[in-house]
Amino acid sequence: MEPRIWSHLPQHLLELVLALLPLRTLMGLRSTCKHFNSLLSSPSFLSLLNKSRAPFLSSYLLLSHPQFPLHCFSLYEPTLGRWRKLELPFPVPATCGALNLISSSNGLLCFSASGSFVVANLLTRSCKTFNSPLYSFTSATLISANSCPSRFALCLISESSNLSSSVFVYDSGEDGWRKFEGYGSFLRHNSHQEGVFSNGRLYFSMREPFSVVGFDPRNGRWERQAAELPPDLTFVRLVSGGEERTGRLYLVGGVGRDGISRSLNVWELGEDGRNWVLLEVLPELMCKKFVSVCYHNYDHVYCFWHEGRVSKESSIGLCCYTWPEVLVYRVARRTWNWLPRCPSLPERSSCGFKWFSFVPNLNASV
Amino acid sequence: MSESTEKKMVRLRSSDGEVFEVEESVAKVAKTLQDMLEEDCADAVIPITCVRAPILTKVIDYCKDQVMISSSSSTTNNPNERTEQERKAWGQKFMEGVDSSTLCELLVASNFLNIEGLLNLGVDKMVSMIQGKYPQEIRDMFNVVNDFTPEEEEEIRNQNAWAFERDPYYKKRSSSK
Repeated sequence: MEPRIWSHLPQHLLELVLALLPLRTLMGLRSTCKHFNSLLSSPSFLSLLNKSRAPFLSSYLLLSHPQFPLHCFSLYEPTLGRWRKLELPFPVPATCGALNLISSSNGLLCFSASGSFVVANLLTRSCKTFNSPLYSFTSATLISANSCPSRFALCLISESSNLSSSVFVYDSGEDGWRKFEGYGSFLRHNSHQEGVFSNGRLYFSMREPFSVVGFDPRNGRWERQAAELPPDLTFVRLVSGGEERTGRLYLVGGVGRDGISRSLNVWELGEDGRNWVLLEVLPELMCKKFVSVCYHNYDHVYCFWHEGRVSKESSIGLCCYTWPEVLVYRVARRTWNWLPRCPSLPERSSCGFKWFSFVPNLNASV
Repeated sequence: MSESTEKKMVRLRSSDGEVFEVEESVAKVAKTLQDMLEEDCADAVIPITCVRAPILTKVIDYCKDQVMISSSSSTTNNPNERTEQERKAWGQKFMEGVDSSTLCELLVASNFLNIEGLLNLGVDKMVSMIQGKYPQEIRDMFNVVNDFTPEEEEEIRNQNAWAFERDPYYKKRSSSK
């Protein structure tokens, strides 16, 4: 039945109005009627949305754990200190089986499934499935940027037995994979390493000796980052400064001898890209806790950038696959704190804690 | 108001047959009319077929105001010139008391006549009427029929729940754990 008032209002005018609504109201509109529900998956409507729209939802920390029910996750809102449950709100393609979350970028989540990948936007409940060129991979990084929300890329690094590595880049615009040379066998000792996207390049840290290399997914070129790394490192992880600190690269690392970290530091790459500037030293007690929860096995340590929804709330998360808590460093405030343990985790859960930064974004399309 | 040269007048006829006589400069605020007048393809009385008289009155009020602000804007210290804030307040006042059906007609009229400023005012007004409303309130407001089955509606609420748990609308759901 055609609603009376709408019949006066041409479709494009109505969409013009709705596109200006706060995201929260817009999401609420979904359950008013079928027509409104379909809007959120209509490309013509999505293209109207104001790109600089004020955020409505929080930005979340997303926890994935093998003992959670299938396709369920926990979301933590740092500003409110609240946990909530997330169940994938879209029908998982039957052929995919169980989805395993591997990467998050700009509101999109990337899952690996048997022989394929699924990239999804939870707000628009849309997802794209595409085949994987590899049976296994050592590193997968999803790249989606607000400057170009209509397409995304997925960068895989694989290692073959002959010590060489190769890179596969999927471009959603071309819907195809491109293969490039890897950078020797640098990932051999760099398990759990995701690339870090900054200024069009994907950066990886290497070890023995420690260094940073950049990969350009457009042309497959590798380049060693010029700045010399700080001395006496035990491990390093890279973090890219998100939107609050666009183009900034951070280094989180342990300093010590014989594989034992005496301190954990954060460095920032200088403006000229020539040196790492020491930004912060983790307070001693926190450092002791961190190195003891990972048993000095830094292979299990990973870091991520978490964009705050209010200015100056952006942070770097420092975590360990074997420990349920996250250590959070607020970059602008220069404060450290441990986030509380997720209440929905089973008592005896011991490893497989995978944290992601998740900032819902209606504009990012798959 | 009296000037030595007589102002050129334009006549507009609303869809319900009422004829309005306005100064050409006022009519020209509407891009559609401006184009017609400049191409000289306007008849003696221009029919505005999709706009009823009460709406056209409101549109003309808006256009008159625009002419008043811009008439002396080239000179400095224009007493009519408004700051951003004043403009906002004026817009709000102009739209005050406009109900949703009038608003729809205003939007259609300003779209047809191509008056960007008025269209924006209308869109803003409509946004302010809708935002923060719950689905049922929006249905009432727009006279929308809920064409979901209760199961379908429930499913959509579930899909949204992760983003809305704090919302009273979803309270029932989240408390069931």
